[in-house]
Amino acid sequence: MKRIHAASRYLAVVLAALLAGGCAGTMRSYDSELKQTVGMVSSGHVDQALQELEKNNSAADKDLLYYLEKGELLRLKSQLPESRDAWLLADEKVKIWEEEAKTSPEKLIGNIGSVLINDKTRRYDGQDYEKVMLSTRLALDHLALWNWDAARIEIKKTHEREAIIAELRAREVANVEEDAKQRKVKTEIKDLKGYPVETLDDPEVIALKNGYQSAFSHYLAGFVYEALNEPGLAAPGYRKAIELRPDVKWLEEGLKGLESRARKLKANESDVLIVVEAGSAPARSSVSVPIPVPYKNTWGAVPISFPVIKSDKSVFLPAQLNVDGKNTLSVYQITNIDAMARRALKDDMPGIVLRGTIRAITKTVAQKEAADRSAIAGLLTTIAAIATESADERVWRTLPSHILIARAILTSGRHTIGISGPFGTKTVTADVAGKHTIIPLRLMGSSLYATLPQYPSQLLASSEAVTAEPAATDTTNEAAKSAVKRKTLKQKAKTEPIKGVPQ
Amino acid sequence: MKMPARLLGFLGLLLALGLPAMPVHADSMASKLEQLGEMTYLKVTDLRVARRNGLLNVQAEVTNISSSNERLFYHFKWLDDAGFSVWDEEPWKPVVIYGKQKHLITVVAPTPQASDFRLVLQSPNNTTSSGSSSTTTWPNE
Amino acid sequence: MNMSRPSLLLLSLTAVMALGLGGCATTSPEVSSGPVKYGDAKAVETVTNEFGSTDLQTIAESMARSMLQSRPVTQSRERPLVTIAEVKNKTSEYIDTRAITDSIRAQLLKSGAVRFAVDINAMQNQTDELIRQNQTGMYKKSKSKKIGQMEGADFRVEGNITSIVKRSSDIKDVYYKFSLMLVNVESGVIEWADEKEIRKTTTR
Repeated sequence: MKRIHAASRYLAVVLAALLAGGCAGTMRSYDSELKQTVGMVSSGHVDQALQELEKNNSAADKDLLYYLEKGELLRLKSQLPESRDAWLLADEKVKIWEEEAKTSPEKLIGNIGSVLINDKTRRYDGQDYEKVMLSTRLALDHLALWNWDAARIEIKKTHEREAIIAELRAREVANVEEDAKQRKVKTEIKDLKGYPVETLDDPEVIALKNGYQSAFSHYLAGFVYEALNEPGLAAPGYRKAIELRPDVKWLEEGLKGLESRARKLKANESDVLIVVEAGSAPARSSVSVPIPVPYKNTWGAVPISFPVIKSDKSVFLPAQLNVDGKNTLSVYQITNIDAMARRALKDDMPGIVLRGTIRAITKTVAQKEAADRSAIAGLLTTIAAIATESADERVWRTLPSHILIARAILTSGRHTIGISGPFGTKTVTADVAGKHTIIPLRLMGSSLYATLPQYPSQLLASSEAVTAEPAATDTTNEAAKSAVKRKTLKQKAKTEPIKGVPQ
Repeated sequence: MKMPARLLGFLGLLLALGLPAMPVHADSMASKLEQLGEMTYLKVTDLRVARRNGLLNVQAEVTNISSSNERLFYHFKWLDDAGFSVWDEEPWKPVVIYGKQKHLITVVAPTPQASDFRLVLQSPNNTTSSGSSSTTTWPNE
Repeated sequence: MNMSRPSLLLLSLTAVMALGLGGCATTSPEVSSGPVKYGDAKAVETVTNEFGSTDLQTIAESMARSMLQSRPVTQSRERPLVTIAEVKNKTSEYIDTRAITDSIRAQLLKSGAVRFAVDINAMQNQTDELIRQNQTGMYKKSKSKKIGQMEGADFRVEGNITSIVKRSSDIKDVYYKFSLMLVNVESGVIEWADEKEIRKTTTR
């Protein structure tokens, strides 16, 4: 109790200073900022969204989230090198975290500043699934820029990152349990009156192995290793994807065909992975829950805010794609980031509840002590206590909420891919070249974005002179346009081999 | 071209070891072993050498005299007639030897050039530190 | 000596400092400011129980040694020409099986008992080079290597790695089995096969 008294005095001073200075860091509402940005993207205004992002992050010292969101917005605009660079800067920040996780994990597990004020004051290190998704999305950028070797490096990094996270989380769980026992805190999630527990006890959330491994990341690893002719590494990629989503039986074909696929491929055919990303990652918001706290001989209740995840149920997930206006191709939802985010929160909750309870105790002591001394000071501390209470809302919002994939053998050249939904039918015209290629699409609201691969000139050089008008799409894509100008591709049998690129 | 060299190596071995495929005598056995610190519970109780198909075959019997399990790290050094090393450093190999067990380490030389060897042994838990070997650290990261 | 005392003191102090600094720089050929150190590349690694460097090294070593004693290697009159086919990864761990076969190949080549033919993955580079020498018109006819002179392998090496992973609340047990075989390309006869097993257990 002695330490709590000292801490409460410190708290009173800090709170007064905060109130006077109006500290922006603790008061910022990330959810409302990003709601606008995401809305702009859904209605097709990426440029505005980018401006909004810059406006909200005017400080010279940018945080991890800024780079994450920026990379995503630039990717939607098909500004691939810029998107990659923004994400590489984000990756630098994640690397600092990784280094700490490896050398001094105790620093990441306990953070006293957050105990006193709130989780928002912690440096934002990214959710675990965001860190893994970052390297997966960087790999997608590299692939679109046709740099398969760089993509392979990112994919290898994804595996290493998952291992670091697994190690740290195992340690954290043990630590929180130990800490709760020591401090005699017995509050659990189910004790939080008014907290929507059902969001965390969703069967989709419980079915996940953990909050950071995704079937998409591993399937992509399988695809890239297969394209680079490394079946020994491709196999575990496909196998892990199956393990993570045993309900999607189609995933088994990835592994089954591994040995024969490349051999069956004809000279003018491509093995195409179509990735459909839909929606945006769910927001975190605050819910205030009274925590009963003993003080001297009475019990008081202190409102403490906890994060809640509101998932967006309106996301449209297509069941099939239309290729060239005639063939339908089934797409399978293999990664649900919405559920992953809730799983991550579920796994974090014991720690959040522990910190919240300690904060409630500290605050009660501070308020009562101030009230004992003077009424005004007591009032001020109460106001401060309520004002500083709002949970950490920071999450990577422009990340898709669902990832779907389809795979098909297409002939080299131009294809149109259509998605039909409540918004009508949207089409994208994409060139296919090389033995393996990835065509990523992003469905947000009623807008369809395509980040088409920017094939190297050698792959396009052998194309024959066929002038084609670009089909009308509702997305402008520099890469697609320039590719169109370079004429449709028809690979000849004697293509000059390109180094480091799967043929 | 190859045969005389092999034959020489073989003769060298014969001179060094007496007879082919024979157990190594106690004193020369000690000369083949390099222990990083004296082991209390693990003893090399037998050592045999033979040349088969032109390659040196070595078998060492390690006995655990205690009744609890012991861990052992070992690797070989391969030398030619002149005592030069003819092979890169081998990886350390970990083995578990159960209480009272006699464990056989059987190896074949990696190259026909090898005509002599050293067996390097380290047991992380039961090495008595005597003198300079007190600074010995085991090959376990 | 018209040097005053304090200045003498200062001078000697400077000298001592210079010596000290100079001395520091030469005591060790290492420039370091952190906890980074070089270690023994052959040390037994037990950081986690995933497939690690020690597993790779011991598998490669025991396979290479075992193959050196096989009949096709010891009994044939000429050094046999071998190629590496694929080692299948049947685990769900990202194990680079090519790193293992590369080590096996390096050890076999160093032993001098076996020769290796270019494998499928290096074939592209091989044909590129031949085509460049013969078809670009940039090389002297007499000095360019001829097309159609490559040698076919007598044997091919192939295999697989499997694992069994078991987990309880406080134990994780991993068992790896690496199998390799040597197949006579002409006859299809398996001339040699061997396995290496590894068990690793982590207790929490």
